[in-house]
Amino acid sequence: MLRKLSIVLLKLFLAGLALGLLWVAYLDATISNTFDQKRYALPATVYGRSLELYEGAAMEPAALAQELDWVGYRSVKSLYRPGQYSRNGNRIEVHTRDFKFPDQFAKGAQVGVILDQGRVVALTREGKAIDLLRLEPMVIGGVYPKHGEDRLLVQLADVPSSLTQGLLAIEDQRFMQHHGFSVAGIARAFISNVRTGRVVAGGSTITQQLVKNYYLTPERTITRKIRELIMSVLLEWHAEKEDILESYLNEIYLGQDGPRAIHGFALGALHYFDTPLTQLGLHQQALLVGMVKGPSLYNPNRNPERAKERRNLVLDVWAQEGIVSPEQSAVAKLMPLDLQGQDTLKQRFPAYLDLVRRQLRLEYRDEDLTTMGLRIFTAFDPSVQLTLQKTTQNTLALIDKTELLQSASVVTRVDSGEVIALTGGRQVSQAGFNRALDARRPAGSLFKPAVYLAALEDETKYTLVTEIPDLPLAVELPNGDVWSPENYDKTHRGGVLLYKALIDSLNLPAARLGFDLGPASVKQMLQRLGMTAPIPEVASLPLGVGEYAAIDLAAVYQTIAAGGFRTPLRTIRDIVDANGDPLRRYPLAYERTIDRATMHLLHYALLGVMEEGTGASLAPLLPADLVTAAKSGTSDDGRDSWFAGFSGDLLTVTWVGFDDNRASSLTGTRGAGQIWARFMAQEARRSVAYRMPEKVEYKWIDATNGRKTGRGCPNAQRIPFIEGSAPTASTDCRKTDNPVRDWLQKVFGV
Amino acid sequence: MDFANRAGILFLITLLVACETPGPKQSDNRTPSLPKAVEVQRPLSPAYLRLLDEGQQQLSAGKIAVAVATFERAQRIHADNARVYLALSQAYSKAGDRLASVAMAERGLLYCKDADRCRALRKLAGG
Repeated sequence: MLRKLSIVLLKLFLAGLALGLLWVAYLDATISNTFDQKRYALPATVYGRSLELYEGAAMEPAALAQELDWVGYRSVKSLYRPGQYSRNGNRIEVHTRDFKFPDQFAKGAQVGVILDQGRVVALTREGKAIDLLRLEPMVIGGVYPKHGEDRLLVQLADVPSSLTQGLLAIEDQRFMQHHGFSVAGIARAFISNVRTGRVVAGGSTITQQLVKNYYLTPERTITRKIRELIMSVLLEWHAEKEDILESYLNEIYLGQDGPRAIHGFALGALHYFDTPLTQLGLHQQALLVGMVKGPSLYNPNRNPERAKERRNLVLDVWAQEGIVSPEQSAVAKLMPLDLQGQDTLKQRFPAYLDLVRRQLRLEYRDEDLTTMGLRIFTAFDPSVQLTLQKTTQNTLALIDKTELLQSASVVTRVDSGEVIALTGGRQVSQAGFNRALDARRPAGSLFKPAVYLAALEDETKYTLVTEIPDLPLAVELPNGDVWSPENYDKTHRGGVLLYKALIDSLNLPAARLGFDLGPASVKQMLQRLGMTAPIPEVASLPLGVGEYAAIDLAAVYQTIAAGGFRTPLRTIRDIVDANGDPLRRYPLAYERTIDRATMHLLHYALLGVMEEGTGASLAPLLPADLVTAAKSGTSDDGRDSWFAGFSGDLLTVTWVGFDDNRASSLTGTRGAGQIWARFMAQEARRSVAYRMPEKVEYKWIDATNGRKTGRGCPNAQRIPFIEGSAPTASTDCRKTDNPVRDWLQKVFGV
Repeated sequence: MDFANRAGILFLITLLVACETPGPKQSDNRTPSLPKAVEVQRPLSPAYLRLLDEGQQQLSAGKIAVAVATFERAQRIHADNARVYLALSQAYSKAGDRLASVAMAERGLLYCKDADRCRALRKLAGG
């Protein structure tokens, strides 16, 4: 009986042993297969645009100083190391850092920028005149794993020895002797804690802490502890001590920056002190080492006194252990915390980063984005973004007392299709529902230009002065309902010239024209203009039926603004790998989808919107010499207020409305137009100024009846036509061109 | 005001009245914004011209992708100047990408002012 029991127990033991060995083998495989992968895992870093300075570039001294602050430069009286600038009136001296741009490596140097009357007038590099200066771009965020880990990798050889020795003195004094865990270490930590009267050291070795961070969950169970011990021994067996220490230095958690977790001493140095790890003072090193024990508890921004106390305790231990001299320790203890300013812009642009991530995920796996250390160079312009954010918030405060009104805007560069700024809601710096990409709303009158463009493509039937009926319309729908649109003012004009109908955003002529052309034709035009969202092929399409986000409409208006050239909306310019080698460029690309002459006619009408149409009331908000073209849009009962318009350099599409789709009293111009105009007034630099295409001719037309007339005749207006399509019917008024009078008018202004 | 000045002004007013067309009063004689705006020109930055030269040298050396990147830097400085589109069109033509070359040339036609450059762009655009 006893023998039988012994055999059963032996079998159970052997089975358990076998299972245990299998488990150890599994843990061993986990360590050996993934340690290197984890060691070098780096999230992608996303940069904004590089600021290019050249003679004539628009720039104020304060704005340049602001740009330098954003990229982490410090304002000093006289420069003594890279990453600093000094400002003396209109002259700014900068000691630039080394930076690897996608196309070249830029060696850090002392450069000078002289500004006058809002422009760059001279540039120098090491005292010699240069014509172009490119500043390193600002980091605007990263693509982190779900837990938000961010880090900068550093090699052990580049870490100050005082930091590594000091770290071992506090965290694991027997690191170089033990094999993963240390009974003596636990005892020593206990004694150290008793001696200082506080808990200054833990019992876990650095190897154990690394294993815990890499492979285990924070739960405190016996199984997890056994697993940690076994894996620590296995890790020591597989890896060199130096590799373990280096991995630890790069892995350790040192606090939180919003959704971003700060890992490793190199990133910690930049985050807390805005200083490279190699340049940290002893007092800063001691603070970081002290924070390992409790990054939240000893967070110097939140708990400065507690952090300082901890730092000084660490410095005491360093002095006791001979890492530093007592004098050095005493001097370091007298130092302030020396933290960087808290006004960091990183992670403040969640809506734009959301768009970057979505574009990245079209081509990269999440795993690659969070581990390969990619560097993503985007077109993001922090200066334009901040103007957009401020304008959005200030304008909403003016026009909305409920504080519930929301807004979304997309800003692109007309000549490249690059998205340079974006807001996804009223709380511009909070991540969440990104209305610019995900709030799908009816487009209202923003579709009308597509209807008129489709008509104008057939110059034998339609010109800008073709009379379109402005009469009641009833369309029977397939389900038997009758659709009867109305003008905003509920009146009918009988007939109206095509361009006037667009300028005044009349619904009936647009609906009639759309009906005559057919919804398929309007849909096709929208697609040619760049609309990728589903478009319902229904009679009410000319009035914007369907669901579209601001980014969808920005794609359409980008093509219009660019003169008929469809350009993919891009955020990313270049992607390089962790070594800085180019992986992917996103070059400038155009596809002409609309004839330039036809688009010229549409531009004429959209310029008219701002001169005398629905956008004219915005004129007091805009500089008098800025020529812009735009279209307003309002959906039923003011549920959606849209404004899409462009200057020569910028296109902005803005939406304003409530999340719960309630009605408002805002039209396109009184809502979104207010944000649009205030923003464009500050950021647009160039008027709409395309050369007149071939095949276009201007004629004097009587604006009341669309007939040819003479210059100086009643209601005479110069209107463009595709060659040969101008009306032949004429008014009785004869031409009054008179060179003598013209000359006198020019000279004397009479 | 001396007699000669008064006589001069009187003469001008008389001339103006004589030139005035009998008939209806003038009304809205709007000068269209498009052609007027085209007349506005900014001086070209030396950096822009240098980047164009640099890109041309890269192109001559067969480094087409590098040249395109350099031209795009130039385009960000003066996006409303036709030279850069001509350069980009030539670069894409050299790379054998006819569609991109034509598109760049057509785009340049929106900004060209110099007759020779317009002609070169039209040629590349196939028109």
